[in-house]
Amino acid sequence: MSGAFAGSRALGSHALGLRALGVGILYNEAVSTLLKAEPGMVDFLSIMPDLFWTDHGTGAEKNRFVELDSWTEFLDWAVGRMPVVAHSIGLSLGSAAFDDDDYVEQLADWHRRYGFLWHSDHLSFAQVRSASGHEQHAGMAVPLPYDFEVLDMVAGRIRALRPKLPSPFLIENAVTYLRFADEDMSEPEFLNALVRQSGCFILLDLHNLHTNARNHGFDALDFLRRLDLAAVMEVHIAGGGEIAGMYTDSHSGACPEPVWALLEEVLPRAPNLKGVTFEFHDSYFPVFGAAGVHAELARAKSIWSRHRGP
Amino acid sequence: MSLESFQRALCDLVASPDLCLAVREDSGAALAAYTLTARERERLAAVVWQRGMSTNCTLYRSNRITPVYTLLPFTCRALGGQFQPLIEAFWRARVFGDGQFLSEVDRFGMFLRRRIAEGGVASPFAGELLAFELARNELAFLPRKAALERVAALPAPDPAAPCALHPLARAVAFSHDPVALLDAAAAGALPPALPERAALVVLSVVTGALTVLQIPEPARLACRLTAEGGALWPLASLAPDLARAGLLVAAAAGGTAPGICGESMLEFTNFRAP
Ligand SMILES: [Fe+2]
Repeated sequence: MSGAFAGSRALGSHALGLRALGVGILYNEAVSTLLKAEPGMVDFLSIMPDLFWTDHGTGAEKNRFVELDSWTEFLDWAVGRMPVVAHSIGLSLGSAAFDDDDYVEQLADWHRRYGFLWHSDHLSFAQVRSASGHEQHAGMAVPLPYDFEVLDMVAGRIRALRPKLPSPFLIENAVTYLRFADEDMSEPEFLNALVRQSGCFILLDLHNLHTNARNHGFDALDFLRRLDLAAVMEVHIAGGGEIAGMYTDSHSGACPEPVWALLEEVLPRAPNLKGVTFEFHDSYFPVFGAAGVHAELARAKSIWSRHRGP
Repeated sequence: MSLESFQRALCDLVASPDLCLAVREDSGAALAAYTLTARERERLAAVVWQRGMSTNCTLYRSNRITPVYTLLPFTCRALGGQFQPLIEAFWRARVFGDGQFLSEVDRFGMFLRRRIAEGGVASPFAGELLAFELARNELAFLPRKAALERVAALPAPDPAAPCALHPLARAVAFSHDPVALLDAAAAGALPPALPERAALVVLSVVTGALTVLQIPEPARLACRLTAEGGALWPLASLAPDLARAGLLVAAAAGGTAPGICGESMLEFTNFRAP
């Protein structure tokens, strides 16, 4: 670890004591069938807790979060068989005007129930306040400009969140189709500073990095050289495709070659990396197929074992 | 305040290609409603020219439309060319507040129901297909375990006594042959018209998978009467299929009258079961 990245020494020691897991998969309904048939196909499972319940919103008088029985039955089955980590989509940590204590409490409750080894969410925002003062959702994850003002705000929100969740907290680098001019920092500088100021770890999504590098014409390897890889606890890998001249992070199936090359690059240089998660969207499963999923997992496992041992 | 306003402007741009064009045209005027620093204003005026902004607008629309297509496929087929203007009218009428795509589908369903009642939808099948799909979706997301535990605590339904529909079942009224209509919708080949015929189907997820049962005429009439609040009828004897399928529960012990989805109750308010 280079001296420039001294910030990662401040990372929680309990988190660094977690054992390295290997290769996991992000849960969807197609994954459920595959895992039931072969629980040993992955070393761990990542789940989006938000998909396991219907959220009736902050205005709901009671039973705001109604859990989906068939999904929680699967989770009950899985927790006894494999380590599970949580990857939420609702914290909207980049929002300048948003807080949802009940949602955080629901996540904390699920941590107590399922013992997630770590928790991650995204470096972006989705929730704003409309002109009339009501909640407004962006309909997608919107990226942030890498400015000091944004850094202070997000770091403050993560510092406030961390004591409420009983596990290490990871922030995922965003995919962005826009470029903001005149930013205070580069993305790796922003992420390194966020780690220092908030005590979070990084979920490094290599397909997001590849997508940004390809669309905006920068060198992903240079990004990795400038990122504090000691803060990376989880890596995401995925596939994507072109929409009207832009390469998008659609999670449509096999990882492209540059993502595998980035994984080869990161694995030997990320000493605190605990797991590599393959993500795909289940709407592509009919085309991608079980064989496609197994092939990606096998390739990720062989890269993992080459660098980390079996 | 200005970061908050900048984020709201970005959300508004992602949701509205028209606003993007207006900012291209005259950023000062189009962004006048937002409290922005000079740097934020310049950034917004620049991003509307980037190809990535149209990618964002496309993703936004696809994120919002996909759940509707997925959860209301038959209704979308029935609406045909009217779907696009209707969903856009819905988006204009209501801020996307909570990011809950499933509730959004329900809200679009309610919006559509009003439009159908006002005569603003051309398809003669949209109302019943919408009622069918909303009922199916509701059942798919109900807490099944708790409902089954509630029913297990009830006494067995008495065939001669009033009983109610299982909490994991819904009755949906059709005004065309349900089999012909649902088959045509599933095949993506809805005819311009079908003979009118009142019918009632019961959807259920009691066994875990969705089952759909058409119930006979006397039971249909009984359901219509009980649904509007009258006494509960001995449905088990009127509709033995429902009883055999385990879709009836003892009413006296806490079951509820079967509501009927998709049928106006107003014309039956003077009826009471004898
Ligand atoms: Fe990811």
